[in-house]
Amino acid sequence: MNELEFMELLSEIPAEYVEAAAAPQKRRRILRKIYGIPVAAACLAAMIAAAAYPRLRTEKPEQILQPDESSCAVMTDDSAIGGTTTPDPGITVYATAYTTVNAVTGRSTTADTSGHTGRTTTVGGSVTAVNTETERPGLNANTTKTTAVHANQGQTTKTTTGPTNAVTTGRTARTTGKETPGRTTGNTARTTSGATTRTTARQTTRPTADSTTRTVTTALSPGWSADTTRPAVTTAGWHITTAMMAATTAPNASTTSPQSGGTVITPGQWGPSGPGPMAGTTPGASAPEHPDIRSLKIIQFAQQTGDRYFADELRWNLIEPSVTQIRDEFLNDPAMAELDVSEYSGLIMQLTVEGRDARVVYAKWNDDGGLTLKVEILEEKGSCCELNVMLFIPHDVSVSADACRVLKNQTDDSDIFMTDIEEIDSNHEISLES
Amino acid sequence: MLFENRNEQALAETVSQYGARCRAVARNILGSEEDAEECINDALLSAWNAIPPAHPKHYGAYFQTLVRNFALKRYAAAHAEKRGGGQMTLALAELSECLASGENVERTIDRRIMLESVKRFLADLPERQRNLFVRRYWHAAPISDIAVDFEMSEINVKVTLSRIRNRLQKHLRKEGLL
Repeated sequence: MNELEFMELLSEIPAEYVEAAAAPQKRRRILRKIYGIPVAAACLAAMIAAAAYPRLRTEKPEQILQPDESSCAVMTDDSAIGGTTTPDPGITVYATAYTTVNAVTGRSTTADTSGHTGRTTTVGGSVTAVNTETERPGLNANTTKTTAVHANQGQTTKTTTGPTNAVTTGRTARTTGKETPGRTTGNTARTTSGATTRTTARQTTRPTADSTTRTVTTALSPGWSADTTRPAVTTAGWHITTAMMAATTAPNASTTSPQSGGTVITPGQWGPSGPGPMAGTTPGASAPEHPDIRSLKIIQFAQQTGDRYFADELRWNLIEPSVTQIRDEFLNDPAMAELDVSEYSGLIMQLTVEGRDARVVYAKWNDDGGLTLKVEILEEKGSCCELNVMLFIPHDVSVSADACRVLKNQTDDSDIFMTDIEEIDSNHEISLES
Repeated sequence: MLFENRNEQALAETVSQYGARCRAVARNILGSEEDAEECINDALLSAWNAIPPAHPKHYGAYFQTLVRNFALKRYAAAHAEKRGGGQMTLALAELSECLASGENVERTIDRRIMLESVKRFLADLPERQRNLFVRRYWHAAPISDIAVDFEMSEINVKVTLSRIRNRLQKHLRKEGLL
C-alpha cells in the first residue's frame, strides 16, 4: 500500500474522529495556571537573590601552576592572624575566585574577591592561587581567611590565623545577568530572563577557632593542569539556572551520578571548545570576562512523550567551531537583543515540562563532543507531556544536524522517539508554559 | 430529512453548513479553488443520489468524506507520476516514510485488515494526537493552520506528527502489515 492509498483508506475512519479533529482545539489551561505559581515564585526568588548577593567578579577556576618547593618560605608571620594585611610587595598574591558546582552534594560557598588580600607563603609549594574570603556582614567582619591552592594535591600551606568564626557555608545563590521583563505575545506566555544562578563550592577545610597554627589543606580541582588554555575537567558538576526552570527541583545527594566517561560540565567551562582558565590576577582586579562569548543562541527541543513518563537522555552533538545559520537567525531575533549575553557562561538550560515536575539529573559532555542531558520526569501520569529544553550556548559552538535525538527509555531500555533531523531548528522562543 | 424528501434545499443547506470546511479539505488536497468547487459539486450529486437509501449518522463527516474521496481521485488522476501542489504533496511525502517501501509493493494487503488496524491505532492514540493526525492526513490541513488551531508551534506540530508516524509504523509492523 502506498501513501496515496493510505490517504484514501483514511476516508473510512470513524466519523467521530473527523468531527473531533475539525472542532476547535483548546488546550486545558487549568494545570498551567497551577504550575504558573511556582514558576513565578522561582523567578521572584532569583530576582531577590540577584539584588541581595554581591556579584562574583570572577568565575574562573583557579589556575594551577607547577609548584616550586625551593622558592617557598614558611609563613609564620603573626600578621597573618586576623585582620587584613597589606601585601608584601615581594610576594605576589593571586586573588581569584573560582566556582565549582558539586552536583551531588550541593554544598557551596561563595568566594568574594573584594580586594582584601592576605599574605601567604607556603611550605612545599609556591602560591598558585589564593582564595581570599571576607566574612560577610553580620559575622565578625574583621577576620580574613586566606587559603592557598597548590598545584599538587596533598601539599599543605601553613597559615596562622587568629580566632576565626564559623563562616557560613552552604548553598549560595548568585544571580547575574540582566533581568528582562516578561513579554507576552499571542497565545503563549513568554518570559525572557537573563538571570542565572550559580552555586560555588570551596574545597577547603577550615581552621577552628583558636590561635594555633593550623594546616590548611586545600583539595584541588582535579584535572586542572598548568596548561592555561584548555583544562581537562573531570569535576562533576552541572550548571543550571533555577530562575529559568519551571517546576524543577535542585539536585540532592541522591541524584544519580553521571555516567562514567566523558567530561562533565563545570560552570564557566564550555567543554572541549571552551576557553581555559584565566591566569591569576593581581589583587583587587577583577577577572576578565570570557573573551569568546559574544552572543548566544538557543536551541529548543520539544518532545511529546505520549502516554508514559520516563527519564530521557537527550543528546546534542555540539560541533565546533563553525558558525551556523542558527546564529544568524538568533541574532536577527529582536527578542534576544534584550538579553545581556555577556553575563552568560557555561550552559544555561531552561527546562519546562507542561504540567509536570521535572529535573535535570545531570549534564555532561561526551567523549565525542556531544552533550548528554539527563532529565527525569518525576510524576507518573497518564496524559501527554511536553518537554521543552533550551540550551544557551555560545555561537562558536554549533549544533549538528543529527542533534536532539532521544536515545532510549531508561525504564525498559526500549528505543523511543526519534525526531526528523531536518525538523530541528533553532527557536528563539523562551516559554515558561506550565 | 431534506434529502429524503427530495427537497433541493438540502443541497443549499449542505453547502451552507459544510461547504467551507469541505472546500478547505479539497483545496488542501488539490491546491486549486476551482478543483475544490468541482469536488463539492460532485459530492453534492453523490449525496443526492445516495440519500436515501443511505442514512448517514454523521452527515457532516459523511459529506466531507465524499468531498475528500473525490478530491483524492482527482489528485490521483492528475498526478499519476508526479507530485503537484497543495498540501497533498507534503502529506504524502510524510506518510511515505512510515508506510511500505519499494520492497513491499508486491505484497497484497487486505484493505479491510489495514483499515481495522489503522482504526485500532487511532483508538489507542491520545485524543489530542489523534486529532492532530486526522487534521493533517484526513483534512490535509497545512502545518501552519494546525499550529494555530492547536496552539502549538510549528516545530512542535512537525515533531509530534513525526512521532505519530513512527508509532504508526511500529504498529503496522507489529501487526505484520508492513
